[in-house]
Amino acid sequence: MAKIHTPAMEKIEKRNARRKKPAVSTPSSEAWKRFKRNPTALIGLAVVAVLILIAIFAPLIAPFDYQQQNYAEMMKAPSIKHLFGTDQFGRDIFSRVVYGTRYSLIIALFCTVAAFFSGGLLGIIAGYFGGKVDMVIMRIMDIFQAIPMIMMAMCIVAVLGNGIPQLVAAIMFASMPTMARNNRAAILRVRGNDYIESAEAIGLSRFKIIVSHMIPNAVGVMIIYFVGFLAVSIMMMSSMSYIGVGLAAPTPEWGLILNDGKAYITTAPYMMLFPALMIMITCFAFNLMGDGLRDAFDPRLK
Amino acid sequence: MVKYIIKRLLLLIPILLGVSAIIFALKTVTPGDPARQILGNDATEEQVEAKRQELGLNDPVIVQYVRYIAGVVHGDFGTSYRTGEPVLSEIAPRLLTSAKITLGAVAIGAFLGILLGILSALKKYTWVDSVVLVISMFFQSVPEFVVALVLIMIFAVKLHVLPATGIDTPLGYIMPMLCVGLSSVAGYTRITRSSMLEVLGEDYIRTARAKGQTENNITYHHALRNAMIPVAQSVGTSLGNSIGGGMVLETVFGVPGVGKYIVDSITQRNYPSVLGGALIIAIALTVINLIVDISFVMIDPRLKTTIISGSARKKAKKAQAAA
Repeated sequence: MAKIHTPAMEKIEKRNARRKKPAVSTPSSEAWKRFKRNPTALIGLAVVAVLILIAIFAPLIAPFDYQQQNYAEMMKAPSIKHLFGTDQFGRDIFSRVVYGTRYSLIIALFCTVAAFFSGGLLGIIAGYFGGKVDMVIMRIMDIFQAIPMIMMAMCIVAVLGNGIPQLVAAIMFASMPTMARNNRAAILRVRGNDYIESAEAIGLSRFKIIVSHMIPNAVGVMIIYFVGFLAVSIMMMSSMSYIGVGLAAPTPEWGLILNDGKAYITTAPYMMLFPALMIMITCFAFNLMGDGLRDAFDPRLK
Repeated sequence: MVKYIIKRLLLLIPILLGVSAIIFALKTVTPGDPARQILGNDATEEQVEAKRQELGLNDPVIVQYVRYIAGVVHGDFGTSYRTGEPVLSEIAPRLLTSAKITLGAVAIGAFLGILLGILSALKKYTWVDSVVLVISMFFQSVPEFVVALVLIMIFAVKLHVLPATGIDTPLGYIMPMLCVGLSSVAGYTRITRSSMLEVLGEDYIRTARAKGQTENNITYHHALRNAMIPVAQSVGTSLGNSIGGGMVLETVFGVPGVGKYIVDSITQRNYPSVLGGALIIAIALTVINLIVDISFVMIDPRLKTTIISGSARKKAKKAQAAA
């Protein structure tokens, strides 16, 4: 049969062709579709991607060693050679900020993973088992929550001392109540579903139910918390390092770089400006991305 | 009501026991000898030993813990290693300073947040809505101390209009309050927005429209008043964050508040002060939350059932966590 070629027919054909595309739509593909339509979320994602690239290729990007001191070039204002200037030890601030990306992102990742494996797991257990287990876990979490999170983290670092593992432990510990509460809520939303009941009815083990039925179904919400907590840990880490309770020099963490420049805020403000901007951009990007993820995975929350 | 208040106050006991147990446990695993620290490196072994005996450091941890708790019950939060003064009398004058900053911050945050929340609810899904959300989120996501540094660079270093540190003049309060306040704007904006949208869909709003009320009247008298309830309840939950943020900012701005006291004590490894400070903040937070809840029941008796059974608080908390 000869095909009729009119603009209207073409339009209809095109539409049909588009409709024939993958008929399967999983929750995550739906979420990605919604995410793609959200310009601010995409900006966040792009910035985060750039930051990850900077972190990976830090040795190639940074023109100097981040801890190499050069007393001939102390406190130089930004120039072509030293894009962000140099500090009081003649260290290149641009290189320090670039390496700082690597340190900040990796430490934040460690903190977040640790927080999920401690507080998150507690929340999942509390949410799944309910009853007395739930009550005991959540009451203990309430006790933890009586002190502001950052204060708890600082108290722990005070005891353990400054350093990366200590900081990760402190942030993990301090975030336990929030993590537990969030993950518990995520599990509770899935728990009432029929498929959980049928999984129980056919005699699956509890571990199996949690791992292969509950977590995959709650994973959208958990991803939101994961990305959100990356930003929170960068925020806490830099705040704590800045006031001297967190990481130890010469780690090129952004908060510590700011702490180094503290004394020169009036004479050499550029020493603080660039690391400060970097923290701002990073935290904001992670939040934009996290916010986009939340709208994407859970449109009802908007 | 009285029964409820007593029940809530009784909850303080496990909280205080728990908080002090955590810090006590941490303290015992810390290397270093507080007695040596107080006396300095010049002291002889005998002097240090005598000091240890005096401080009761040779007793088992559990005995020290029970002794400390007994002291707290009598209003004794320990003695600062550094000054030898009771922790409570060192903190008391600082509480007022911190309270001023926290109150100012909550006022700024709530005012701006509610205003922006109304704006974005009325202009929902327009560019105004998105801009408001993005800006308020910016201040929520960026650490307060970075905002503080930028403000110092602008207003103290460049323009010389505000002091960079200290609260010798009332002007010194402006930047700390602003920094803490701005970070809580986003939370209030979100809650106000969603609560306004919910209320605007209620039947009584339609009724008000049907009887010919002006839009302004509907927004500010009929809708806002009812939409404010969850917002007001979230004040209590956001207080904790404001106090935490205040701790860092007091250090940045050199404000002699409780936060700076605790941070200083942490860096000096002055544990009685850290522990006492943490306990006092925990007590203050719990009591403030209780007062907030009770005052809402006074204002709006409808809340009696929800607050006292606890579901409304959980809802507010959930909303806060989601924000």
